[in-house]
Amino acid sequence: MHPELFRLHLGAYERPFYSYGACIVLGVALGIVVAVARARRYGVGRFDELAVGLLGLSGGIAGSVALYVIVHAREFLADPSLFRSPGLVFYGGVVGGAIAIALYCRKFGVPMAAAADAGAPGLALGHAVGRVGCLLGGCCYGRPCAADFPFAVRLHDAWRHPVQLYEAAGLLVIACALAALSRVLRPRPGALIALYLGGYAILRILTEWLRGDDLERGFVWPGVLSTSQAIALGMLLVAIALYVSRRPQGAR
Amino acid sequence: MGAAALVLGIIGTVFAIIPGLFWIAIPLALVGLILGIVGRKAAVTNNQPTGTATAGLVLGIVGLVLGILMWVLCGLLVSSAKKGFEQGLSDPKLNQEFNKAFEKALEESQKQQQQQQNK
Repeated sequence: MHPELFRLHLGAYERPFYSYGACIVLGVALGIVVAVARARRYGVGRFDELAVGLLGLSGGIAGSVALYVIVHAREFLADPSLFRSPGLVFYGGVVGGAIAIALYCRKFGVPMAAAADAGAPGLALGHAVGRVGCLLGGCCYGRPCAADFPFAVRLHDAWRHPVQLYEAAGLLVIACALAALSRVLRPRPGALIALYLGGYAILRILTEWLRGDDLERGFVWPGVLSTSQAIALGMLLVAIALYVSRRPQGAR
Repeated sequence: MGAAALVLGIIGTVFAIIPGLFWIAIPLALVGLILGIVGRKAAVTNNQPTGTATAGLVLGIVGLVLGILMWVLCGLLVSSAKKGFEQGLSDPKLNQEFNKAFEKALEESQKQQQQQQNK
């Protein structure tokens, strides 16, 4: 754990910068750069890809905050000061980002599936960097393990599995696989983003077994299937349906 | 649209730097960013100059990045303060000391009251 990256001193102005926020920003920036660099190959304009990335981010933030406020509506009405620092619900972010991107693509005639495919490896890469931020910030940790386990990290007063790093490594593998497969799958728009969704769903189901904080997030089927795993399972089904429904262009 | 993006981007960036106001900065910067994107796209298709919208877009990004950094900071501070407080509450040693101090303070205030009554 290394929550504080550096402290900025400007005269009397002092501000700590946290590694978690820095990793999120770095991951987003890296993902968007990779996406923009790949855009031309998919027949998508560079500015369009940049706009899709930024709108996905904006819609994601708006959607995840909105869902959090909706879920906790009663508390927010009782105490409006909560609006100063609301939490986030990840799946609201997915929906919000998708809506923002869909609106943009429809309005300006950008092929959405191609733009998504161009962005898929960058998305996986940025996601991996963000997970490293989880380790530095000390969230999303794993369950305790033996101290002589080679990868064990000291976190919250115990030796634990560095689940954040397992996930980051898995996402890195997914990013490389997507980049390697992009040439093969280019005539089949939408297939690459479906592979990312499916790959991450499988990774999440696997790493969830090693996570120690699943009690906080609840179970659908106690002891067997946690809430996150159930949602990941749904995501996997959606990804499979998306992949199968995508026919190679021109073969129809 | 570009001008609106620029104004929102400037306000958002300034608010993101001021401590404690990032929660206003993030929505402003978000709206500025979206207006900047759409405004720049519209300017390109209509063959109009894109400078204002691009500046708004960039400031929207800057405001959003700074706002997110501050947000994470604030969230971490609040959660660590909460954890520390809860730990203190559940710590038996601290509880004992707190009770002792409380009883002492109570006795002293009673003494003072008695003294005042005696006068």
